[in-house]
Amino acid sequence: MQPSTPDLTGARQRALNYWQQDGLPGLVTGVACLLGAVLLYTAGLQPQPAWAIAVMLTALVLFLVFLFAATAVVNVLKARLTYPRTGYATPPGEENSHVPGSRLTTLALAESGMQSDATLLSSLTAWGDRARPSWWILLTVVAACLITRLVANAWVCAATGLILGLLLWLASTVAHESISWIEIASLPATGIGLTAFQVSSSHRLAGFLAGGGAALSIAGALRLQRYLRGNPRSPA
Amino acid sequence: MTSELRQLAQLDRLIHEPARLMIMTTLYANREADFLYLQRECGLTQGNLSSHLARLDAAGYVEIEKTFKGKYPLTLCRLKRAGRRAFEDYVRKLQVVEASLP
Repeated sequence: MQPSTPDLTGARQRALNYWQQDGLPGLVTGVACLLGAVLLYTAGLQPQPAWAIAVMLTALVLFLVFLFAATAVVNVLKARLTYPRTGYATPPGEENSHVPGSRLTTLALAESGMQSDATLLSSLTAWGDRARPSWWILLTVVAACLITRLVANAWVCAATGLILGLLLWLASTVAHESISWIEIASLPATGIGLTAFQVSSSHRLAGFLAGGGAALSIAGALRLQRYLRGNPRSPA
Repeated sequence: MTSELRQLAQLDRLIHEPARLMIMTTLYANREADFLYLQRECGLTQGNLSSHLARLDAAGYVEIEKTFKGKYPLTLCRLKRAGRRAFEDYVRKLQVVEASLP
């Protein structure tokens, strides 16, 4: 039997997939996006009734909590749902500061002489790139917001939504990002919806955030449901 | 016997055992992991994992800490500096042998 070096990249990748597996990170990001949409919508209302100010302030506080303590929120939820079922592993991003693994993996792969520099580089960065697929969706939503804000024509929403949906589809097929079809379809659907309802440019940002957030939340909730069904809590 | 093959004889036998190698690799890739995660990741029974962890603990390679995450009790395992170094040394030796293979 041929000796082979331990598969560190694979172990890291599995840990990253494990973080996403229960859908909670996507769900939390989706809720943050929805809160952001509520915040932007109420902020754009003219004139602003008292209820809108109250809703805006509540959404602002919750949005900031979700924005700055997303990992902590996910961890609290995972402590109740995930860890008792399938165990705890260091969340992605936190393991880097303590694991000088890249150097070793570089050595392992380079000395095996089986991989070109390009493959080596991609295999080393792959786990980092796939850490948080939700960021892909967030970035595309932000890009959509900027474009639709600058161009007044309503059709720009449909065009932007379709292009961004295509980009997400490419990211899922070519770059093998774990993006569900709900998330891919959400942006074109939101764009077409915004065009059909002739939404003013001041509310388009809220519209795209709401569409992306709803998609992330639904996809996360479905993933969570599948996870909970597949991993029933064992009686203590 | 070539010098590359001699490296095989110098491999750390404590790490070289397949179950313990899986545990070490998982703990090296993650900063820390709990007992249940290790058990699922390595496909070991509770008793088996306990005994392997006890051996690694006795060798000073891992540290085991009983703690809580919310209300959920965790048995956290992480590599000590000695364990990290031993694992890196093990991998390096294995790479030398691997590189010499046709």
